[in-house]
Amino acid sequence: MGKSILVVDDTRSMRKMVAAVLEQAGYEVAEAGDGVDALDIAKGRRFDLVVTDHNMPRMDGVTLVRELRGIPDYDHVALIVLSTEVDPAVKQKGREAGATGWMAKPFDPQRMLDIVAKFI
Amino acid sequence: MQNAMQTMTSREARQAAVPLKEFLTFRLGAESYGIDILKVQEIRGYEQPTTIANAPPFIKGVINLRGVIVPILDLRVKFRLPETTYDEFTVVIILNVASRVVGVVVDSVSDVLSLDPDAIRPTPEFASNTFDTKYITGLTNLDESLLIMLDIEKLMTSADMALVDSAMQ
Amino acid sequence: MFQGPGALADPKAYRAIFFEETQDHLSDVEAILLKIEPDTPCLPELNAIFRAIHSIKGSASMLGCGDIAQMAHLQENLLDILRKQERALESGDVQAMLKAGDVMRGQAEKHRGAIEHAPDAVPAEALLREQLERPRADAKDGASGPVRRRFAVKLGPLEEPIDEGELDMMIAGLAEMGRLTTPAIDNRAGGVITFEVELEGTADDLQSVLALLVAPQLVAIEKIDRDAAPARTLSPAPNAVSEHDEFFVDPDEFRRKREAVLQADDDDGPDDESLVAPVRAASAAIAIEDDLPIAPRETGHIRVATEKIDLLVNLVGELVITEAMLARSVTESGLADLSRHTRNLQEAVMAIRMLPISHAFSRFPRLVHELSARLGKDVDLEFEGESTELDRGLIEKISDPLTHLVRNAVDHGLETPGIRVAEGKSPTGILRLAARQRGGNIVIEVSDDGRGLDRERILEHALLRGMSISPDAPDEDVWDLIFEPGFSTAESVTDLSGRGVGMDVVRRNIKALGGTIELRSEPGQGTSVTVSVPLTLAIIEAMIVSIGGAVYVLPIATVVETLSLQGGDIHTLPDHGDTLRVRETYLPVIHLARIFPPANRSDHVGSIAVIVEADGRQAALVVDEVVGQQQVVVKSLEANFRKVPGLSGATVMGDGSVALILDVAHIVKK
Repeated sequence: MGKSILVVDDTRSMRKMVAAVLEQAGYEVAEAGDGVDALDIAKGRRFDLVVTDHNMPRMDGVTLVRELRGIPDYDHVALIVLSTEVDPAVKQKGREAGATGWMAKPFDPQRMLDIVAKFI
Repeated sequence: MQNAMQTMTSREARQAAVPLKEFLTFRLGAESYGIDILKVQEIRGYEQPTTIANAPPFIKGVINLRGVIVPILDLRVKFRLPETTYDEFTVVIILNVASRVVGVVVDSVSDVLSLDPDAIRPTPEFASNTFDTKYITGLTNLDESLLIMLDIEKLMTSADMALVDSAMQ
Repeated sequence: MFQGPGALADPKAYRAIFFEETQDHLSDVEAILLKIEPDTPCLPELNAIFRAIHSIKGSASMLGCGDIAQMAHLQENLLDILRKQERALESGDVQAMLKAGDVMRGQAEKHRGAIEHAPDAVPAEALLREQLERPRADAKDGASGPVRRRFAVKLGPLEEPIDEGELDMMIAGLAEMGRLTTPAIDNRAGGVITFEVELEGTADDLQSVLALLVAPQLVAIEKIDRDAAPARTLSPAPNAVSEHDEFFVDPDEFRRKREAVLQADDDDGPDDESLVAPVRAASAAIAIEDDLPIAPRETGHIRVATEKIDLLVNLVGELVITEAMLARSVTESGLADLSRHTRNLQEAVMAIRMLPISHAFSRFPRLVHELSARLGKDVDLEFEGESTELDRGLIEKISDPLTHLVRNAVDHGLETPGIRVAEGKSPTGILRLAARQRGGNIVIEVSDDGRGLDRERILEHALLRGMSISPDAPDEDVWDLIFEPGFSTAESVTDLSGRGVGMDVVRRNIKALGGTIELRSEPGQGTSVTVSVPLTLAIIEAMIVSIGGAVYVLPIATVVETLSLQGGDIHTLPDHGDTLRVRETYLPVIHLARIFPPANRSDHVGSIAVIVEADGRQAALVVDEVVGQQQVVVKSLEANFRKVPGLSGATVMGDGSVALILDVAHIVKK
């Protein structure tokens, strides 16, 4: 059964790269350039996994994770933050907000696929 | 006179695994010429161009090619061949050379040939009374008659073709 | 930290997007850097710069552009110091970041393959490192000026949830007063709300604000020392994440929990006690940091490849031709509708090609900044009418001439502050670029309040070069000399203006666009250069005439009137050629059939005179017939052919044939 992933990042090149890596592995990928748009899309359909950047205008990744956890459908969906952020306090917030994992940028495509496979 | 070389058929060429180039052949006056097919954009029938006053006589004028203004040159005039009437067989080869689209009027167009480009060698001894031999890249046989291989891009961009504003060269 | 490219299948597509994005980010950053002033608060701007540099860094390291990532990383370090306000912004910071931006731009161009060598990164890195070493303020309480303090706040455990609206307002309010960071909000009965806030004020102030929301005994405030260990979070912190880059919940547990929940058919599953603690969030996005919203590129705008627009313009052009074709053979009122639709579509499409002239002006703040620094001048750059729109093709072509004029003004026009003060002027010179639409043209004025043109020196120089001009000639004629090729009165050929690119080239470029350029000047008061170019080049209203059976086109903008010629109307004067009397004036007559000889001489009748005006000169052009008037699409002759004197282009008529467009200015000059 095909699994679907929502990729969120306000940097177009990064978003496209992540999407391409996932698509090539056979996942169905939807994109959002913004946390607010991502929330809209996520409310409209249930994805099997969400990968999101943290540093974004309007709504950052950690807030997006928190919002998604508030939606019953997303209670047990893996929400992974992919970010260059190194501040431990922020990562802690991510954890507390309900992030399933926190991955560092730049990412190794194969490793990302391994992690996605583990949690999807 | 000849510096004859092999003309391979496409099949032979594929078997020989030599990268071939394709050439469009056309007739002008008594001679047959071949030009790199990659420079040819399309082939059209002749239509009366709009004359541009004070242009050299071998520039017949300009036509509208799907919204783009394209100059039409008459190589007959350029090669100092006797004038002829244009009829329904007259053909205009639209070339794409040096980022320009240019049309040349020829008598008729023949086959497309595949040739091994390495086999074409320049022929310094060949004296032509039609034009400067620096535009000839070589000679070959085509069914018993001579085929003159032209470097059409070099010809079209040369100064005496008056296509480029000399101030800009 | 900076790895090479991963096993991406085709990095090329992303690289193209990356290069575009990077240039955009760098432009945005530059614009902000030129706006901010040292020692004035600009936290939102610094955050905006940080976000842009951060984006660049992330993508650059992914795509193997380690040099760009490295430069971005250094900038981030500097920005962090400035954002955390450990030190006030200095002009050295701005300079270092401007330089770094230039280097990154060059590095991107090299990666893109547009240039061979990237600029040397070492000087820019040195500047950044220097700024990183600058002593940081160690502000203690009681220092002069208002002091910002940092507090860790904990509200709760709550007895009942706080009204979401009030909570939002308070958070927003605090964020406005200062910086609010790391919020964790569990707004339920028994829940806890924590955050850190940095603002001017005491713990008591903060307490009284928070007491509006919850009972005072539930408010816990702790002051945090700025340089001390990282802020303590007051909420319980199980599984705290410290130095490691990443964390993950245990995948097996995660899957187990999920299976358990999915298999349970109830809608309300048991309260989740997994490692992932779901927390109900405040509904609105909380302002975590002061944020300067750089206009998000996705909303309200789309990027369209220019080829697509060009195609649209071509198609509309074809439509215009088709309409003209129909008009010839069908005279129906339905045509009026078609005309209207075509006109609307055409305007809409031309509008897509229109861009505000601010695009052409965008490079000037940086240019003037550098020039004035280099030349020791103080210049105030003012813009007016930046929203005036013009065709994008025109914007590209007008940039170079305008740049030359701006350079001239800063280099030669404006004096140094010392001289200005001696003259009773303010030390800061004003350079003004004003644009406005007038009729079918856009008029751009580049003016300065500098020393003005030196009439005597120009005359001297002209006479030295053998140009003939009377010493009593009117000012306009004297200024006109500047446009002569090779004319330059610069004493020292600074590398700025003395590059052999003179005003003659500027004028030629403007003329090639169909425009005009004029100089005005007052000694000691300043100089003003006015450039006027037609708004759109692609479609013009035209008069169709025939000369010896061939059809030619005249832009209506150049036509004053048409007259029928009778026998003796044209007089031949001995030294002046043919003239025609029109009311009170005698105009020179130009027989177009002589310039454009028709195939058949006998077809020339010469019964109509079209009075035209160009460059302030009028003339009577003799043609055979006026065939009609219509809109035509201007096509280039030079694209595939070359510039023909007397012709400004060609167009395609209703029957598909080509008609040549007359260059009236050139013809009238002869």
